Amino acid sequence: MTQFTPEAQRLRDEYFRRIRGYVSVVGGTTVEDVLGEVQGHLDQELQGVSQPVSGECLSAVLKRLGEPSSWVCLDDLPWWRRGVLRAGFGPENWRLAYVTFALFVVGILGGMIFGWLWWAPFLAVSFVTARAAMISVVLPASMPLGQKWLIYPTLIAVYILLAVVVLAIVPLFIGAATFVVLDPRSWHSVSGPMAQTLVEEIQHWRPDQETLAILVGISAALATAGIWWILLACLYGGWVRRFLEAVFHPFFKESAEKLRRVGLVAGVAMAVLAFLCMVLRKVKT
Amino acid sequence: MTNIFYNNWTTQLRKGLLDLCILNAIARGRLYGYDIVRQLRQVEGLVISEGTVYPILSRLHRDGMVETSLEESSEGPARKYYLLSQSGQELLERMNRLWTVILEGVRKIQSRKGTEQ
Repeated sequence: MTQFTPEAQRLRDEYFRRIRGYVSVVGGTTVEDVLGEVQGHLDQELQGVSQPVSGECLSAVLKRLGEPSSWVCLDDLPWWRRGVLRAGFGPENWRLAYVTFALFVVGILGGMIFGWLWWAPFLAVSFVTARAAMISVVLPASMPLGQKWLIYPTLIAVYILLAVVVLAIVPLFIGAATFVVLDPRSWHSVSGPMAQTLVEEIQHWRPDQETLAILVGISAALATAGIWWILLACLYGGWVRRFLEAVFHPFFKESAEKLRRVGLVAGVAMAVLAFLCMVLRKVKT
Repeated sequence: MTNIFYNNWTTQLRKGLLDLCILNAIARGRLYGYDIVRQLRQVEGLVISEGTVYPILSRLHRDGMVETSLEESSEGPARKYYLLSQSGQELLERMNRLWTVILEGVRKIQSRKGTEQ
């Protein structure tokens, strides 16, 4: 009996599942008969191949065997029944890819009409189906381009949001906390149009308590961002790498090293900027 | 347009030829599925998806052209052997005769076209 790697086993099971589906509907022969033929063919074809058989090796054999639908005679069926069968027992990753794209588009269209909050649940569900589609692709390298076009818009949209959260949540929290601690009274007046207040304060530049608090808050946020990014870049490896790769699958793996370097440089730049802000505050006071 | 025409034409051609080749392969003696596929591989461009061979064998068996027997194998699971039945042999003789006639006719037309040019 041929031994498979877990990846190859999944590939084989998916192929068998789809054949079982086609044969059980089309009939003409028993499922056991056909699966016996397939297994016999695979055993013969993979004889002499080093065990356990890899996903790539099995994929090549299955490619020669053809689509699971080729194991039944679909020619005698009307076109609409062939279409229904292909939709029902087609590759899981394609069906999920279509669902992903449909949810993404409905979310955007709904967001344009009913407001962007409408988009959130659609994007969330679309993200789940996109990840499910990615998982059902046993060999990611062989993922068809068409599938990428259906899945990637959702993944990119969610990953951008996640990246903003990962990179900015800690610095923003520290910056805001510093500001509130230094000047609790002005919190209510500034928490609304904060940007506007900032611009006005810089124009007039009177180092009162509120302005100082804002400056220190920004400095603290910048400094924390710098340290946070440097920390992320330095911690990269081990479980952090695995975590980030899992969260940003499949993009992070390829550009991880480049991103780490960019994060390190940006972190140092932020820390220097924070230091300059602090110096400026000291000089002005 | 020519590509679509060519693809349709080759698909139709393959369908008929596959039956003929499978029957001829079994005519030499009983074979199991994988062995038949291996023989057909030698005809370049004949088999696009090897999985299509098995449903044809199944159909030939249903139509009584082929007999099957299951035998234990030392190399793995039991193998299903295919053997040409009496009616299969008669059918194959007719098919081969017709194929030879058609092939000769086509060659004649092709060579005539060549000399005219």
